[in-house]
Amino acid sequence: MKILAVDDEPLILRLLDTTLSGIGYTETTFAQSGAEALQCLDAAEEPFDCILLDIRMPEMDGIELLKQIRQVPTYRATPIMMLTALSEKSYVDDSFAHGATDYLTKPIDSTELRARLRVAEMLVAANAARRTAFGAGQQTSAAEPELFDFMDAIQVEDVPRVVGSLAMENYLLQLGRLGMFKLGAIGFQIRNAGSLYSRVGPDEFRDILTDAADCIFEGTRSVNPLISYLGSGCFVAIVPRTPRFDSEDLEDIITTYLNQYHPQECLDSEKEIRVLVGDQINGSLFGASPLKIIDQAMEVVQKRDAFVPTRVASRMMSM
Amino acid sequence: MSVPMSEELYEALKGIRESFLDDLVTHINEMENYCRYLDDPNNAMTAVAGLRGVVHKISGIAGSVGFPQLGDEAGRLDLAFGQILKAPYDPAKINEIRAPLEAFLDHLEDAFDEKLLPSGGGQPQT
Repeated sequence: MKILAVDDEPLILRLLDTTLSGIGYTETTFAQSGAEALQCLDAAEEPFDCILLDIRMPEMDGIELLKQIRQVPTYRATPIMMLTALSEKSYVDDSFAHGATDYLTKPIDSTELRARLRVAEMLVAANAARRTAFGAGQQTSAAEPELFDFMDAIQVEDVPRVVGSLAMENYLLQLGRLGMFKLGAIGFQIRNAGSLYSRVGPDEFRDILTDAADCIFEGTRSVNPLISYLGSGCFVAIVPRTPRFDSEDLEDIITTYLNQYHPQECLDSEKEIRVLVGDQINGSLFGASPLKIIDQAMEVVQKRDAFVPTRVASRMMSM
Repeated sequence: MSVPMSEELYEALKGIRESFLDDLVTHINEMENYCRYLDDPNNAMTAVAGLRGVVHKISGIAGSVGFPQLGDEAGRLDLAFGQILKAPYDPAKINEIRAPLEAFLDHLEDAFDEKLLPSGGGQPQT
């Protein structure tokens, strides 16, 4: 795996060189600043498979560099791991919100680094396999293939604070490692997502997902959520435990935003787009899999799906 | 838990540890120089930012080269300096940090002294 490692501290780069070689990664390029890293990306004949970024660096910090790298189409889906001594939640949040795939704190532990790089390798392989499976192998600059299955947890692009499902999992794992266990989660479900996907096809469904994600972000932006698309028309937002969102109010807000994108009077009832909102789950990552809080949030919203027609009908009648 | 270390890897890490210890003199001098400005209202925040830069460097590597306690102390100071820098200048907050800062400087000197001992102190860790 071809790696680019960026850190302003020469000793850290030496340490990384030694550690990465020791665990079998010998194709590593090193850069001591954001500017040098961008030059390396430009000059690379073959794209890097994985990027390791320090955060606190002079002139251009790692998060700014991360944002710039994610603007490059070739690197929109490349695993980017923050490797930093900073453990404050704000840095973890900012990193994932701006496109980090993983976050590892120094001191560097070779076992941990090897485990995370293995996951990154699996992601690289999965991205390549999907491009091949959907015939987008020629589009090496595209972050996502043109086509995808309904159940695929595709990356929703260009919506603030929306991250991939692997990044979301890594985010929750990292918060758990840092002892930040108390979180809230809200599940969202596009009503009749399956039939909508069948009717409109992947391209238009991707646009619907983007609009839904944007509306979920707008509805929750006051608390700086982290949002992820989980496939099958489901989203989850990780939020602080307080203030607690009222699911019906939030659903109304999201519907209002959605109506701006898709005026319901312009759509036949089968194409009506509605995002159901589950009650906020306030959970703890302590002693539990980080995925548990997501599962709980999704369970709540999916139970609601059965009652939707009544709720929607009553709300429409009151309008 | 660590990956079993080859002789080659061990030697490479030992070299990095030596460099870390060599750099400590520079770090200690830099920090002592910044400490002189902590009482000066016009320069105290610049000094805190400078101190933060140095402890941040140390926190990133100390744990990997056999000084986990130094790494932890540096990490705590990094956070504390960060808190001071987020707020307007407050001499009381700066005073709170003096004791742990002094203790840290002592521990850096102890680590450097270890370099002068024949046994060479702790072992590199990965």
